Amino acid sequence: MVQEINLVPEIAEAEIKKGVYKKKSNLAAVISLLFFGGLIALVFALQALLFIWGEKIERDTKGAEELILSQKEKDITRRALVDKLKKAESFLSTRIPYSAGLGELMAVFKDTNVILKDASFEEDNVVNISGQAANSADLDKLLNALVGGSAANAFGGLQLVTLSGNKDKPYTFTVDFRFPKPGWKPAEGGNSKKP
Amino acid sequence: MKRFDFSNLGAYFIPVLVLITIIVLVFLALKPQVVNLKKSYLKVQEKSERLENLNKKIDILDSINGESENLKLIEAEKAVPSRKELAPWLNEVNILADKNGLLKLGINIKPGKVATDSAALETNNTEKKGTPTKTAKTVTTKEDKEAVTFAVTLGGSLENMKQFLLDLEGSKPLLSVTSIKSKLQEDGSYRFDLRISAPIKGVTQKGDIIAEPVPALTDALEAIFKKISRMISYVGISVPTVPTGVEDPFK
Repeated sequence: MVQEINLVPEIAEAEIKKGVYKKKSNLAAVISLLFFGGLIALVFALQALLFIWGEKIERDTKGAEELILSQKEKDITRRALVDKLKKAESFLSTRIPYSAGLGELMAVFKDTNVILKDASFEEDNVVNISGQAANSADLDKLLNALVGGSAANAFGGLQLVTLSGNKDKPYTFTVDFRFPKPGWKPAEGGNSKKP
Repeated sequence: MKRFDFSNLGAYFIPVLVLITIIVLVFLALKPQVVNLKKSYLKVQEKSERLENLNKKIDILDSINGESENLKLIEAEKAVPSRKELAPWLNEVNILADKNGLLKLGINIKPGKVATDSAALETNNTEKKGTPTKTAKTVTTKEDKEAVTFAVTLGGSLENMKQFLLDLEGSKPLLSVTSIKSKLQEDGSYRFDLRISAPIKGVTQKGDIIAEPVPALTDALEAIFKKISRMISYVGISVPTVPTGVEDPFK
């Protein structure tokens, strides 16, 4: 019968293991030192690179700024021109063509025998007119002309506000409407375009 | 069963301690550096973008014809002045009223919100027909500092007023009638109270003006320029001077 005999003493085995662990841990320490050292070096190298890059950009920027300043008149002129044209654009787009509106109103009154006494074109696009008609037929003609015909393209939301008529006295009336009607645009020469 | 040998811990202790210390120290030392690195990178990137914008701007400025733009600006200035100078606007209204046979019944000059009544000039209280009276009212609204509004009173026929408005819409400096009130008079003529607004646009500068991109002169703006250059100009017409320090400078 064969019997196993441990020839290595137990204390020596522990010493050998200790040595192996020490070697491994030393190796790990060296590797980690190298790794972290490299990391630090990388950070500093990146910082140096950024510094150099930044310096180059600074130099180029100075040169570019000098070039721009040498042409500052062009820059200021363009800026002022665009500002003014934009202002003109917004101003003209909100300008109400009252000449065309008044022209339409005059045409309506010309076709009838009604007298225009008062008219007010307000900023909120509301027009208020008051007048005098000799008879109901004239008044009817006026109202029809306002809601139909070419005036209807320019004027909208017509409302007869007041109407009074006594025997042997002319009819007096007040009418409200909106000018310009959405979508309406005056044509060159004063005639209106249909929406 | 194999038992764990605690005596090996002694062998690990010092290297592990050293390793942890290194990690902690490196972390503490690196953290601010990494933060700085990030900040520096962002700064450099910002500078790089600015440089790119500057280079683009140089290209655009090189392509601009300075002389032609100057002429355009002079023309645009006639339509939209930089300063609040009443003379050209009142002159324009005055000329157009005369041209269309309208009587100037009133113009009040009351510039600004803090204007006192003494600023209002009443030259003729009688408002005789055919005798021009000046009562102009100029009010700078708080809401729109880039416009001036004034009021004029005119007298004449509806046809004259229509023609006046048509001329006003086709002339510069740009003017816009914001409201009209007309009243039939006993003699058959009309009295018109008009509120007129005029735009102003000065040069505005803000921010990094050197790196700010050059605004584009778009087709729409070119079309506006063509439109305003076709308008009849009333700029540069000399305004007759009146005596100062007297009760009625128009007498």
